[in-house]
Amino acid sequence: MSDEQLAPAYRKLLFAYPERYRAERGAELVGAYLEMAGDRRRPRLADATDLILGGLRQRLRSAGMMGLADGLPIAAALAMAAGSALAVFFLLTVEPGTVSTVGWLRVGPFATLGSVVFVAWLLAAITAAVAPGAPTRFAVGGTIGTLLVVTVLSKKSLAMIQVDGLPAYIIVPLLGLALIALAQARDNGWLLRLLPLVSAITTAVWLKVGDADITRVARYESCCEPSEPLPMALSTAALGLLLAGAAAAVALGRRGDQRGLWALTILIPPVMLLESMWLDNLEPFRSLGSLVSSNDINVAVAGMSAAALTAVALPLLLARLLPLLNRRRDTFDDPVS
Amino acid sequence: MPQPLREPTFLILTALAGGPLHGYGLIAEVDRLSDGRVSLRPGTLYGALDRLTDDGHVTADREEIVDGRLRRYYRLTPDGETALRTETERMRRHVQAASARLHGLGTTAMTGAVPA
Repeated sequence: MSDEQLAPAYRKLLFAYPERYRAERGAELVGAYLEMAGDRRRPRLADATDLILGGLRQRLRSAGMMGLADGLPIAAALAMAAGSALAVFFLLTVEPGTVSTVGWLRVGPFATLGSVVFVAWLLAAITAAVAPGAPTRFAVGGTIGTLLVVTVLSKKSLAMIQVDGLPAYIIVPLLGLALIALAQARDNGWLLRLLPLVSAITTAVWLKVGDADITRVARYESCCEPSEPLPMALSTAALGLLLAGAAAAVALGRRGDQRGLWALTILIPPVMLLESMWLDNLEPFRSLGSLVSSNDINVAVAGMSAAALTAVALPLLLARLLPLLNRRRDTFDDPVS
Repeated sequence: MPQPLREPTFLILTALAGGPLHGYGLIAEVDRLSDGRVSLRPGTLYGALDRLTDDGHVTADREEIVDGRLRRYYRLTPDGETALRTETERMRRHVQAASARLHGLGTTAMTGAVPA
């Protein structure tokens, strides 16, 4: 196929790049693709993905936020670990529930369809340990798909059988964690690869030998009191995520590596989602949540408002602060210059 | 202490150590150096080149038009050469340590001696 036909198709795919970059480097990028094209008639899906992701990376670079892309693999592993801990928690506390289930769908030994999401999450955690990169991203994508299907089917009736799923205040934070976990890198070290499994096993051991009260949770309907066992579990996961992110920021920061700080910034929005129940008692998120009538949904809206706010504000703030901090450190390191 | 280079970055710098290359030439050279294991796409390659340019490791060398297509060549800077040497030395020390251990393991296996 001639350049006249293929080049415009590649040029269209440059839409994600900033205009100035397109003007400066667009011809070069398209030229490289044309040299690789052989007798191809149109761009492949992988080419489109590469150029769109390249464009987004370039926009981050223009905004001084390339650190977000650097910190994402660490944030992905930590988000995966938090989700794994929650999956084990729900599978061992609520899902073996012995509440009367006549007329309700049971899934094997588990009480609700939500168990499928948790099993999928744990399978993704195992995949992260043995096959990082694309297979893990595929497994996390499957978990997200399962979560969406369960969300759609929840509280519906299928062939006279009622389907019980998960409440919004659990679905939304899990979705937030899973979207970040999608960014699993291929070249993660063993620590990041094993972290989700370690987190799951630690939670299981803690539940078996730890606080007996927590193991007596009958159902998912603990809305909307932050001190109930299920919101407390989400809060504990939020705290764990925050501490792990802070530890990464400090440990890497001591070596002059800012990936941990960016990872922590990426993790704040899912922390907000996990703390939805608590944020629902806090202005202005309480007012935003109260725009919807359902208690369960307004808790999720409060969390999503806080997550959206932090997802936009924190990276912008960090992108402005880091150059100032780096300048101060350079001056401190070399007071003569 | 400088951070270890990621594999694609190391391979790009290694490819450029042989002389200036344009985008497609770099992709082909990285593919050859890694025996086809690391296959860069232009969007990813140019992202890496931008970062290496920001870090002062790579700079644009010259441009030419071939068959109506723009080719911009890139070359290693002295800082890029230093970064590549540092990383190569770090990897060499690791290979040396691993080889010594494996050599000891082979000797132990043959003699049945228990290492101290």
